[in-house]
Amino acid sequence: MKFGIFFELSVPQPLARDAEMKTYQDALEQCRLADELGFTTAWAVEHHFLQEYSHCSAPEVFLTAAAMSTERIRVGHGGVVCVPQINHPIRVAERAAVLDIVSGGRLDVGTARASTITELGGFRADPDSTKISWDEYVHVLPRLWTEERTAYEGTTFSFPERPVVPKPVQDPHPPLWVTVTSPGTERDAADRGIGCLGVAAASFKEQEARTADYRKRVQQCDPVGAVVNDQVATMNYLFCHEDDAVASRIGGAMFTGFGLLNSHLLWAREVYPTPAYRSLGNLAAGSVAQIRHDDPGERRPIPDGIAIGSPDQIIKAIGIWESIGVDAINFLLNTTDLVPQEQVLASMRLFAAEVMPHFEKEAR
Amino acid sequence: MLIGTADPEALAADAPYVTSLATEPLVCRGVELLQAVYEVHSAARLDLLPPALHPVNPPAITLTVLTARESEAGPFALAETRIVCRSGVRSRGFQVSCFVQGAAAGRLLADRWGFKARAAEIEVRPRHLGTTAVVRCDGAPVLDLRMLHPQAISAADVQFTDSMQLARTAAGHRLVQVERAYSIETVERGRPSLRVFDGAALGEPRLRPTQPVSALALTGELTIRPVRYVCRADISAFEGTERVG
Repeated sequence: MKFGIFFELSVPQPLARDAEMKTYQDALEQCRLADELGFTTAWAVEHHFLQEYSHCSAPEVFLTAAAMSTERIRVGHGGVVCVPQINHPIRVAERAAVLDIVSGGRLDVGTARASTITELGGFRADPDSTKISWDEYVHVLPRLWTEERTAYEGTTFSFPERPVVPKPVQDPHPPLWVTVTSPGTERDAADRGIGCLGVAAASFKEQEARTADYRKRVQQCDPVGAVVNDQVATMNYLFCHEDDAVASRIGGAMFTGFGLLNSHLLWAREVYPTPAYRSLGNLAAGSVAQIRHDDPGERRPIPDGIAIGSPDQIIKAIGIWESIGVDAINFLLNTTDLVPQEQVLASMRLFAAEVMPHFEKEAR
Repeated sequence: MLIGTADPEALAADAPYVTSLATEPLVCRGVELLQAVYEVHSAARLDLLPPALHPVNPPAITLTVLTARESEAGPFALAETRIVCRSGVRSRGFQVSCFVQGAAAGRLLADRWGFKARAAEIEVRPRHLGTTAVVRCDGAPVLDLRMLHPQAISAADVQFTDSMQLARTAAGHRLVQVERAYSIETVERGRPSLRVFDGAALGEPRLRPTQPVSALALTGELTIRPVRYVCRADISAFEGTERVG
């Protein structure tokens, strides 16, 4: 089992420039500690206009800073938005290659298509075509990294033959992933031979079914890249403390806070009827009906499998994730500064001391 | 996290008085509906919602106009404006204006569900070129909405949002959660076009549409369900939600 960290870079309201600065500096300090402690990857999302929820609009810049201040930890775009109005595919390939070079070959490239009308509408992108554009990107990016010159005539973008430079350090190219929120995306990942980067908190049962389906299908994949990435990663929250009650209180506030902010996003499906968005963003599949009619006073409880608790509790939860075939867990460490930075760092240290060795032993 | 800052007392000045919340559904058959979503100017986004509700980013409204050929209150037509918002973690629309054509239906909707029903002439006209809807008050149009470039979509692609409607009750001001279920026969999506939008006449002059998002037109059946929840308007839904019955 690999353990990573995952940044949305949320900033509390009322917004202040020093609060944004603190969020970024805290995240970089968390990256440095994660590097020392043996976490595998630091992922950063790409979001635009999502005030308070995510101020991570230029992840490649943040990840460059992270890479420059660390030695071993990999850096992950989690993921770059594959919509031409937001990122031209050539610019994605160029930026990724440079980041791979300056990090010494430590880049993972996650791909995504944005789920909110805030983002899609802000760039006047067509929600109906994001699946098509994503598909074109994942087929073209490996070519741009491996071919000396590339031309492309497609549906959502085209370009004449050009030598796209530089090329990445990793040979043949960095591992490709797709962020998975909508049901069915894991199948898209499997069919194309790319990794499944879960960014929604799925239940054990749902993740088990998704993982089993992915494992079966990836065997028969038609790889988009020169190498198959058949890993399954899931998203989780981390707050580790010796005292379970303290962990629940502090980590629970982070979990609830993130869920609230997430539920307040304006998801494409809510205001733009389309088959291209079958779920409400990061909420688990099947919850749409409940969102309509359930008690508005009901809080979302902390489900089983969330890494908030004492080391023993977290070991048990991760054990279940491991048993259902998940290769990596990426942890959200904070939300809108609800957890003081010292406590975030202490939680990471305790996790590394008490939980990580258990899974290293299992792996051996 | 942002919350509404409007004074519930002031908002409730023209709210209906609900003597008895609906315990039976209102089934409406032969429904023709046109609905549009628009982004609106953000300056007043917090001032338009009571503290129980949270705004979304960007602020947006839903304009819904429907005619029902048949219901227990007779045939009627309804036009409403709702602000897209959240109650707790739930997606909702806060009703800021409502017109009803059909006196019996208007009284029933106001008395049982807290619809802010005012009389108006309302028409919905399905066209192959795109459905149109017009609302007239005292002969003058206050809303003229059209859907351009219609294309058929699946009923499974459509998600409807329930309403929060401010009402005066014996227990004080309450947001009534109005839940609707649609049985869809046909549905199309298109681009909305607003020929007339009179914010003041529609009940909220600070609402200024800035950017079209989507429009849909459907035919089918609408059921307005019995009320299950009401919320205090002055505090968060987590603290102020009350189960009915």
